[in-house]
Parts: sequence; C-alpha cells; structure tokens
Amino acid sequence: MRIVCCGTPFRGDDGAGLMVSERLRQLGIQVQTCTGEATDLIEAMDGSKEVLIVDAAITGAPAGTIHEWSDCTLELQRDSSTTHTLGVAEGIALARVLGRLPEQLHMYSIEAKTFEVGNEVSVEVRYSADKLAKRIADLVATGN
Amino acid sequence: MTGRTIRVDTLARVEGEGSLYIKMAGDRVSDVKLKIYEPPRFFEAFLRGRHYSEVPDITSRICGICPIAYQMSSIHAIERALDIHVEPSIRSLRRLFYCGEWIESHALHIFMLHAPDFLGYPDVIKMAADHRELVEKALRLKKIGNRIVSLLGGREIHPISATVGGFFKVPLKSQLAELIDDLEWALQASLETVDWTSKLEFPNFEQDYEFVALRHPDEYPLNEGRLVSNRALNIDAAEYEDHFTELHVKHSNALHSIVRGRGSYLVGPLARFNLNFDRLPMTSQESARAAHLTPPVLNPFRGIVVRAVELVFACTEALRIIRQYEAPSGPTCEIPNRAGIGQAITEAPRGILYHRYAFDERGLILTAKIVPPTSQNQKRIEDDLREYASQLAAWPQDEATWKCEQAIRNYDPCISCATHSLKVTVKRGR
Repeated sequence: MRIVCCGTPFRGDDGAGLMVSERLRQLGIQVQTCTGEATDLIEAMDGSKEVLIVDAAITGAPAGTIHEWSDCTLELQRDSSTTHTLGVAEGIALARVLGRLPEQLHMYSIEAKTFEVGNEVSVEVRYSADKLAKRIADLVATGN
Repeated sequence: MTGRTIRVDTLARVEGEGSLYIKMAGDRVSDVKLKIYEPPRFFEAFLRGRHYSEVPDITSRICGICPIAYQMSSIHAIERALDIHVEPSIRSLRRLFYCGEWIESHALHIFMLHAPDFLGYPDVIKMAADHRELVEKALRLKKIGNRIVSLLGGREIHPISATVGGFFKVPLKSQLAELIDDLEWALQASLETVDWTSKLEFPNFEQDYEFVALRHPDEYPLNEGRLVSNRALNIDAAEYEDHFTELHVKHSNALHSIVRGRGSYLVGPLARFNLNFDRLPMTSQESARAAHLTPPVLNPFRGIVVRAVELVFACTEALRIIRQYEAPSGPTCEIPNRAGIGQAITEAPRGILYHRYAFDERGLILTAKIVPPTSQNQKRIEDDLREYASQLAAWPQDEATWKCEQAIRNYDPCISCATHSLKVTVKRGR
C-alpha cells in the first residue's frame, strides 16, 4: 500500500498530512508527500494498486476529528474546503474519469481548525496527527 | 430600468479564494468588487529578524504553484544588496529552473483551469470525460515541468536547493541530458497546443492596456531585465516604488497596485508577449504567427494562446540550456557579510514579482516588501469586468456570471496557494 500525505506548511492545519508523514517516517514507514493539488495527487498515486491518502479537511466537525472516507463518499465532498486549486477530491474524481484510480483507495483526513497563513498546526490537529500515524502504522504492520 | 447583480461568493478555478460582485443598472455597471485574500503581507512581517539566507526557503512557501518565482526574486534582491554576480552557468540553471515552473503552471492553467470555459464545461472533470487526450497531455506536460523543478530544487514542492550565490547542489550534465527526450515531446505538444488554442472561440473584447513586463537586451525575460511598458516606462527594479504604488481598498485584503499618475496596468503573459515578441526564439515566433498572433494582442481572452506560445518558449529554452550546459566551478560563490538593501523583479508565470529587502550588518532582515503579480493585476481585472459586464447586459444571468468568471480566469489569478472551495452562489436583482 502506498501512503500519500497531502498538505502545505505555513498554512496552519493544512500541515496535518505532512505532520502525519513525519510521524510515520519516524516509525520507519515509507511515505510520499504532495501538496494535494489534483495533478500532483494523480502523479503520486500512479502505478500503485492500493493507496492511502492523508489530508486535512473542514466539514464542520470538531477540530482534530479523524475522518475515514471511501472514494465514493469523497465524490460527494467536493464542496468541502481544501487549500488546493483542484484539490484531493477533484484529483480522485479526475483519476476516476481517466481510468487512473488505484484498485483500492482509502483516505483519512483530520478536521482542521484554521488554514491561516503563517500559523503552526493547532494543538488539536497535532494530537490527532500522532493518533492517526499510530493507527496507520498498525494497519501497515497487520497488513490490513 | 432593470438592475442586475452578479455575485460569485467563491470563485472556482483560480488559485486561492476570491469573490466577485458586480452591480448593474441596465447595461451600465455601477460597481465592481473583486475581493481577494492575499497572504504575502503576513510573510513580510514574518521575515523581519530572519537571516537573509533563510529568505528564499521561507518565501518559496508563499505559493505552491510558483515557489521558484518567490525564490528567484528574493535571491536576486539579496544578491543585488550584496553586489554578488554569479557565473554564467548558475545563471543558466536559474533560467532552466524557471522554465520548469512556467511549464508546470502554464500547462495547469491552459488545460485544467481555463480550457473548460472555452469548451463549455463547468470543470476539468466533466471536460475529461469528452476530452481525455487534453487532460492526459496536461498531466504529462506538468510532470515534465515537475522533473526540472525537482532536479534543480531538490524536491517538487517548495524546492530547497536554490540559495543566495547559486545552488546547494548543481546537477550533472548527464542528469540534465535525461530530460531531453521528455522536453522534445513537450515542445511538440506545446506547438500543438498553440494551434489548438488559437482555434477556440474568443469574445470580441479589446482594451487599451498599459502592459508592464521585464525586457532584457537579448532574451525573453525570466530573471533579469529593465521594467518597461508601452507607455514609455523604462526603469531599474530599484526605481519600482518611485513609479508604482499600492492602494488599500475597503472590499479587499489585497492592495491594489497602480502606476503613479496613470492607474491600472496588466502584467503576465500578454504583457511579456507584447513587449518582448522580438526576444522569443524563432520557434515560438513562428508558432505565434501561424496562429495569427502578433503583437499587440489586446484581447485578454486570447491569453490562453499566448500562454501556449510561452510553453513553446519554455521548452525551447530548457532544451537550449541543457544542450549547452557546462557545470559551474562550484555550486555557490563566496558571500560577503555586510548590511544592504536590494530590489529585484522576476517574471513569475502570472507576471512580475517585486521583492525588496533591507538587512543589517549581521544579515538580519529589517524590512521586506513583496508585490505579487495578482495584486498588480487586481485593479486591471476590475477594470476589465466593468467594461465586459456591460456587454453582457442582455445575456441570461447564469451565462453572464460564467463569462465574468472566465474574464477573471484570463489572468490566472494566484490569489494565494490558499483556501479553495467550489461553492458558487448567484443572485439576481431587480
């Protein structure tokens, strides 16, 4: 399974995916990172049959909430705020139209509090990033 | 008299978050507000107290689409303050680096963000179902741009290798040579793109613009040159603030740039093309002529064709640099330690990007000023909308709204690498 963590630094909780990637690397797990811009995401997924995406999202849930999405529910979430021009949901939808979607796609997102420029990742998201990294590490270890 | 309000709460297919409000009475436009949120202001304060050597890495994070532009403008400004002159091969590598960013950015905008407007689709996903080959072409072009950026920048996103005085690491000639096959394909694809875009249907809309761009004695501008316009402007970057000023407007977080004593102006591909057509390599000039595109191009909707011509240029220039490349004597040069103030302008994909830095004898930043291309185009976009919306008075509300959005996308506004959502609301008033 290829793990793709999306996000940008210096934009508050948009760094959530990158924070998860740092934790996973500390645990010895190989991770790819990208901004989450649609074309970059398609590129990052290319050639893998199973992909797990990690990103930040705003859905209205309390900050730090960990969401688990399937590719079907993602299709419905394109109104959600992301910090990417054509974001993760668009990247998945586009990959589907182009027949470039991996056979199995999983996604975790962490509910963001703010995407304010120059801000650090919030305490809530930082805590959840640790939790999510451990959850993903367990998944990798058990092969599920 | 029938009134109309065109309101788009969140603009789609632009970089970042913006909204549009147009108030009309009949065919007379009484108010236009393009509201944008612009992060570089925060970075200016954020940079104070940092060492100048940190500036390129920090400013590259301002934008996910054009980080090279921010690195280049900051590096050139600091090098001017320190009177550093890099050797020719470093200079060429910087141009190559910039070509990579232009290829990425122009491919993204032409095919993924702007083409849906011309082909009548709400977004690229719907367009891809019928025009898969266009989207695949965009993806491959963008990937080739990414390869250049990641080779020279150390990584694709927020590159880290460029520094004051050169690069932390320069590529081997053999590494660059590996890009040639891809770039030859990209050049061919770009030539096809010029032809394809030239056959799109363009609204009949021309304006009397003041075009502002860099001009170099013998190159199409990227990193260097004097700042010129078609209204007799011809200045060094150090004189920028004497001729341009920024105004605060209530409805936008971004400042509006104007030429002192004149008003709005246009930066970006159209300005570069119109002011530097003779500096384009012959391949690009010929592709433009074949597409019946010669300066002055006064219709902003034809900017999509000009971007395609610039794609041809970026591929041609990248191939030239790679074929002529000889490794520099070292990746960087010696950096003197002293206080200074320096200004520089480079050509980001969307237009000129001005940076000014002052630092003390320890190299710590005292003041920083960053004027991105979109804040320079913002007033011009509003001026376009004021004229264009009046032509759309008889159009149905949803089509008029869409056309106004398309007019904004002519400028490929990079409002930030910021928040983006697809929620659009249109209200009709009487």
